[in-house]
Amino acid sequence: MRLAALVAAATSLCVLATAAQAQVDEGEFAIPPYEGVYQPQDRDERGLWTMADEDERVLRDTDVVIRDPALNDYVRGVLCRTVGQDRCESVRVYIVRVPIFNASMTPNGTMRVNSGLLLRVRSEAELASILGHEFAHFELRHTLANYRRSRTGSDIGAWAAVLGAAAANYGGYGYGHNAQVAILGGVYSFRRNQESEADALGFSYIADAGFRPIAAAEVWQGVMDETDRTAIDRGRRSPRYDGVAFFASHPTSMERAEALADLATRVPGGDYDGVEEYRRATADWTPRFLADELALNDFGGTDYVIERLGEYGQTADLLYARGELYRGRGHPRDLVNAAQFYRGALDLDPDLHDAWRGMGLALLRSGEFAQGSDALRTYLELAPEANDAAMLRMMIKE
Amino acid sequence: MRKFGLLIAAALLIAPGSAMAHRLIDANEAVTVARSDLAVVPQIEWNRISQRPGSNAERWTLDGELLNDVLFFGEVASGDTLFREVNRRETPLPQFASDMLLVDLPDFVESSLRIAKGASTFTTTSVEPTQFLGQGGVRFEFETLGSDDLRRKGIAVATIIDGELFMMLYEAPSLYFFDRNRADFEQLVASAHLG
Repeated sequence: MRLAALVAAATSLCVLATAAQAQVDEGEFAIPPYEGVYQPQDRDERGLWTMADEDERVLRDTDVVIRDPALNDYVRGVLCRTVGQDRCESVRVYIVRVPIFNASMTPNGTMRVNSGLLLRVRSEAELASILGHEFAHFELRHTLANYRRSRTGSDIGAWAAVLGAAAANYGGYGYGHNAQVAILGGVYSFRRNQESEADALGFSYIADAGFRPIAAAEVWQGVMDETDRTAIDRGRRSPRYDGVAFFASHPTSMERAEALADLATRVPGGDYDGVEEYRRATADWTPRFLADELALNDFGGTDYVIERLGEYGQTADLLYARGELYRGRGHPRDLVNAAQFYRGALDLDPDLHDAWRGMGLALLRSGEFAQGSDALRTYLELAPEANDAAMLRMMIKE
Repeated sequence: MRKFGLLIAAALLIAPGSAMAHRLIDANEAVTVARSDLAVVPQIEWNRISQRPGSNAERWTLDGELLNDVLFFGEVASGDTLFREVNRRETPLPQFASDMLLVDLPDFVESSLRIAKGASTFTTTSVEPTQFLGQGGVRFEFETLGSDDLRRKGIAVATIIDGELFMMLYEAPSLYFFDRNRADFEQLVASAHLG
């Protein structure tokens, strides 16, 4: 029931946005004057910054950070355009290779952007809406407020939670990266009223920068739809959104969806999307992010992600990834579909040699030996140095 | 009293399991592994980690699984996973299918390792035909970046017999450890047979 209402609210956003441009209150989305370089004020805040500095030192040196200067400059550029050059100076952006939708920001100005987020957004406006929202939490210093609140609870209770989080994180499913992140997880999850404040300020940045504000709602809707598709494919009903990393620290609710809808209708905003610009800037990385996504073994969710990206124009990379996804699941009907996706990919980009490989393997597995062998032969002619060339040669000789 | 209970609970959560006694595997004696007919004859002593990584799996190490991790998988049938599920609801592991091609195995292993061990990146560097257990098989090498931010290299040798997967896999940090014990792993592979 709650879900149905949520989806209804999210879809109604699009309608409302065009209808209600009239009632704009100019003052509501005014961005507060920037206070310049900020330093921690008291003991709590200095402690929090020390922890964040230590975390950042670890993060800076990890190999999971993507160093590509072009991609980093681009993401930083979108952030700067969103929040303005002076605010932007206070942030260090780290793009990390984690195939999960999430972004976060610590009180000392460390912004973490997951590759899974970059894969899922389709335009500069969508990216700006997330980066702006995270920056708003930072500017409003929400983490400090949470830290103070958490300290007023029972100390033993707090430590039990901390130790529990640390123990659960060792050796297990490793996206947390280190225990410190898990411990701070509680400090960094936000309250409902803080979400509203960050939404309001986030929309103000987007509006001021001339982005199309409804893009923000479209991102949330996409992530919620993806979670539904994952659940449906796994035979589950009535999904809640705790499985989504971003929502674990950013509670979502009916109330929030309504608030977002309301804000999107009132914010003045512009009409800049930046779809082509975004595609061009991320083109080199998209195939790698898609490959990371494919390894998650989430057929429903990944199929939705690829489908949603395709709404803004089909590409050879997307069709190839879909072929890989279907071939990976490997039901007889999937193999037929996969071969079609590979063919489609080759129509769009005849130089995408890997599509020949995928098509050959899909056909071989469906029992179409002659056709499959032909496709693999074509692949081997085009890519004789492929790392599995010897294996494929042996397969088609049999 | 309630606080005391919480303390105990916290202590239990971080204490290493007392049932984690490992077993020494003697050198030069044939031993069957992974609850299957797969048998090897090690030339040096190994430690068997008592906690099974999966129902058709077994884990050996010399210095600890983070430094040298040898995994055996035997008689993995259609619908089986390589490892025990870490979170069946949110991140289920991929299942083996008996009609998989040998060349599909690197992708299957990649997905399994990413989910079960939390590898951040996985790059297959070579895939070659080989003989394993007297059958045509596949040998592939890979590089990973673990959730502990350590770069590792790995080798896997596998074959599918009557629709069941048999595989041996070695993973160790690229720095020093991988090369140091590579020959020990190759010796295990060479000694492998169906008992």
